[in-house]
Amino acid sequence: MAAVAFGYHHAATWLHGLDVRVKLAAMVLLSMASLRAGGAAIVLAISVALLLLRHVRQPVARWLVSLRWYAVLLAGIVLVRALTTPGEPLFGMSRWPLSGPGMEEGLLLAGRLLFVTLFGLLLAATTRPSQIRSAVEWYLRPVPFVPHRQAATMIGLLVRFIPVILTQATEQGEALRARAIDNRRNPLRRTVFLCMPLLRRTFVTADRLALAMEARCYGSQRSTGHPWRMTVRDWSALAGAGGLCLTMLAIG
Amino acid sequence: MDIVEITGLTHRYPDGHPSLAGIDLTIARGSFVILAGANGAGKSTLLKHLNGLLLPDKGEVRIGGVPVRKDPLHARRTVGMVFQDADSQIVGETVWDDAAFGPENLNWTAERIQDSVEAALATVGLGDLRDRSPHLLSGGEKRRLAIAGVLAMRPDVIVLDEPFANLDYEGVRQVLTHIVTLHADGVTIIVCVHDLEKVLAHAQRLIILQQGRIAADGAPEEVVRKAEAFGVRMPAACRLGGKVESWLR
Repeated sequence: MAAVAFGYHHAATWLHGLDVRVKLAAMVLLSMASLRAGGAAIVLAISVALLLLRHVRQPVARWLVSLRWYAVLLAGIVLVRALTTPGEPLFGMSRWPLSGPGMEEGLLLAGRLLFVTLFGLLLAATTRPSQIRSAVEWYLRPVPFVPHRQAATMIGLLVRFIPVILTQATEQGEALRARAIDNRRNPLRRTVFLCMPLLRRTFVTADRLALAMEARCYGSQRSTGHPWRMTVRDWSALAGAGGLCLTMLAIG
Repeated sequence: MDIVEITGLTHRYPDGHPSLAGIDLTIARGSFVILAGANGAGKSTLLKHLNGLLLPDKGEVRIGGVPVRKDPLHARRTVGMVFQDADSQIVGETVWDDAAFGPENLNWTAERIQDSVEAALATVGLGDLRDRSPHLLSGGEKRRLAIAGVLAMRPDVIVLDEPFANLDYEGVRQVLTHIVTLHADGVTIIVCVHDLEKVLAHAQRLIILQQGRIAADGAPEEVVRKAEAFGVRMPAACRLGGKVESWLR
């Protein structure tokens, strides 16, 4: 399911039709703004991200289910912050004191990470990897000593590869469950049984992919030919993203 | 005229074990050839030499008269290779992107890429699925997409490694239909298979490899009678003294 959630989903929405350079710039600006934003601003930003997900006709509930393990990671971050930050303890717990300021800090950090992740998923869902590659190439072209084509292709392949790894992880997990892995209590051993074959499979797949790319003449001289054209809609979207950044910073 | 010319091709695996031993072979332009053999006979290794993915330790492979060692890019442009595992061959995030990957690598213009990809997807019947994620395609559709990805590069020769593996009856028929159509359009077809039954009726030549050597080579109806001596199952119809029927009937 995660593999299906993370990846391009074709639809005819205005976000799909937006210039990819604008989407990338908006994502960078909003991520930077979230670093300075407070709780209220993060709640606003997450709400905007969820509204946009609905707008681009994505099954929001299914996405959130796909992110359940990421949610566990975020919960872990909140817990560690709450346990390690000095301050007034919550709920009067003496043995494992969860501090109020630590909980606040942890929630803020988790909110920022969730916001950036949701925007990343939004970008991946509405943009073809080939377009992301072209946009990265466009941004890197003026930077001296950076092989912009190779860098852009690497990013494009990474985006292409994530759903494959997630699908393989799901298959591997199902195969382990079919052989009663759930009966093992030690989570470390369960993780090892999942990760070692998955790593091996990922490397084998990467190897086969490289061979297939080579067979199809992959090299540094490729057609780029992406027609860049900024329209009023693109400028408006950029202004909107800038406005959201300023609002987030103003709310604090 | 021969489009593939192989003389004295010898290749060893990295551990020193011989995979191909002195292969001499020519394949005529426009022919339909089956390459059969047991596991480890050297079929896939031989195919990779045609595409320049492997280079000979000894001997020479020439594609369209040009040595592969001298110009591997020419070999890859001329010989399109469809791998056994279609999943690991898919590069694009949509059907269209994947078919366009090869032409983009050839540095073609946007218009030429557009024309070539549209034609390739139409040929394999995937024109309506151009915006679909390849992950959501069926096994047969993925295999057809792999063929389209190669077809979009307009190769003279198409090499297919186990094209019917893991396909159901309908999937086999769909892929076979496209292979036969491509051959009728003048493309040289080289198919590497374990199971001769599905494709034998359409081939003009059957080559059997055994332990890195050509064990038998000739007209399918003659060579198939010796197949089992080299670890390849003879189709049931041949055992009963009949002819193998096309799966497209």
